[in-house]
Amino acid sequence: MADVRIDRVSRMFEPPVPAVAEVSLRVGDGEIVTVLGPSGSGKSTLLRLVAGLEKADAGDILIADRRVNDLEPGQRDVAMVFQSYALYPHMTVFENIASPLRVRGMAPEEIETRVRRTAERLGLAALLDRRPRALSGGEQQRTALARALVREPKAFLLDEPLSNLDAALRERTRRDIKTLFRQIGATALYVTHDQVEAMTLSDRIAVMKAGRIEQIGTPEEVYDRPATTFVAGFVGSPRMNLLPADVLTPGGGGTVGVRPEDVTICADGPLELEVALRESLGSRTLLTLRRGPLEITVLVTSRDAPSGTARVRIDPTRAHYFDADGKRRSA
Amino acid sequence: MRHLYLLPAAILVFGILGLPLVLTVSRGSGHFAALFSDATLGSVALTTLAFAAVSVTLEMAIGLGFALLLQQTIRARGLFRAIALIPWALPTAVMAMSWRWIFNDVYGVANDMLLKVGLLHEPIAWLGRPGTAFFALVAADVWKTTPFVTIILLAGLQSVPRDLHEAMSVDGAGPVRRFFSLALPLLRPAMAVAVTFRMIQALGIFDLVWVLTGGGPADSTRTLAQYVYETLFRYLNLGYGAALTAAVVLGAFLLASGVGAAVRGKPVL
Repeated sequence: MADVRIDRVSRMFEPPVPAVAEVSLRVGDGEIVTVLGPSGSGKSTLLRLVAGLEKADAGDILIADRRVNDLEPGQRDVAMVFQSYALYPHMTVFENIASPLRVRGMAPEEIETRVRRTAERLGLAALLDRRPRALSGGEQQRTALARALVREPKAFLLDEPLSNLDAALRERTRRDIKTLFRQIGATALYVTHDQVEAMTLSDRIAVMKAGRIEQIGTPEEVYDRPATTFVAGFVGSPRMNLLPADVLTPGGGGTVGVRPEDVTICADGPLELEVALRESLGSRTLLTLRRGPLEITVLVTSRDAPSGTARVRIDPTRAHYFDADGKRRSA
Repeated sequence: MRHLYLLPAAILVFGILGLPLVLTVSRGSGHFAALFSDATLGSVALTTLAFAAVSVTLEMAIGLGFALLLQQTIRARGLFRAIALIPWALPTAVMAMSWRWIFNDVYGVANDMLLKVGLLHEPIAWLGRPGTAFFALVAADVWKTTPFVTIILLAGLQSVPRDLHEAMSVDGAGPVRRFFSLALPLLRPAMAVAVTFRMIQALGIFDLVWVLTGGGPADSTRTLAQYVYETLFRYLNLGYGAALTAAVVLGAFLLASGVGAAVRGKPVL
């Protein structure tokens, strides 16, 4: 494996609006870095730039200290897993997994060994003669993963590889991928819009918005110290409350962010609001409280959930403060 | 019972296609025996087969080339696609008249061009010699029906998701490798459709030959359809003509679906 460095890379589709603008990001050797962002944030374009499927208009992309900007996708020695899996419909599972090795002209015996070993590892050994059409979604996904693994590339690029799976399977596959990548010490750049996936899978997360990186950090850093209101609102479920700062400090400007679990309901709370909506999450209930334009969500244990009106208190030490531009205030 | 709603259509198809065929075959068994000793049938069948084989092969090859070109993202792609379809949109009789003038030995533009670039030293009577008349026929047919093949293959190429090409190129395959490992195998169903349709049409070719050469010179371009037509309507040999028609229809169907199945890589039925 090797490291991947993206240095002030830009890509314009319809100038002057950049799809990716001056993005810098390093994926260390053996590190899993997730690019997290909503659709249209440029995260897939960033991945395609590293793969060589898009050409950068500016900046450098380095894989194992070699500048690859001018190399064809096939010369970059990276493996990619597509959201659609991109399995070849006319080939069996075996041929699909063998394809990258055949393209490279590896000896048939070596291919046989490697494909069988990889298939074994991913629980595909019994399916090698099937065509993709005859596989379940999960099996197709694992075949796509096997086709990437079998190459033993310098880095893995994964473009929303789990988004076509149902919730239970997604959770299991997420763990399998993490275990697998840890075992082989894989360098991986992983694109997703699912913040739970990003939080659970990554060593570091890069949150993207409108072609720019808003924040890079470990999942804990991104969650505990969001750098912007965008990151604050995007990472974490249920979503962080972003309120006018004067709710907490009269006369203060900017925005204050507080997670629903950090708002407490108590009889002597300074704010009184009406319960507008109750959403049960099982052991806990998410309350939406309203007063005029002010809306606060609160996470409470289900048996404590009030109705009618409720008084709440926000712990100032658990709050996040942002200035008028949405940037975190140091402190 | 679930397919009962198909009954009216089935009766109609059997009534106008199946029944006449069955009656012809069952009542005209003597005529069918005569087919095997008909030397003219042998020679026109050979001409027709040669015409179908050569023209369909050329159309598939050139059509694939055009389809690959038209698939590229170029400026005014829609315009080029529309232009490429024009020959196919022309009525055969009209375009055959034009080709007759093109191959005219005195005034024809074919001779004129070939003489000017020095490929010919003297004009050729293209339609007056057996070998060149066959060639002229193939040229006109290829010109007219390549667009049909192009459009079908273009649709086939476009049905291959871009992801697949990208996956293979990330895995190290260049354009040539991707063409042979990906595009061509996935194009087989479309090629099978194109080749089946074209074989059926080429084996039944009539209008182009009728206008361009009339089957001449010396019957060298006489095709099955023309032979059937003449047997029935010129010599009014209705019984034998009916048997001939049935044999040609069945033969063309079997051959076309056989070739189609071979191209597709699995049986059609």
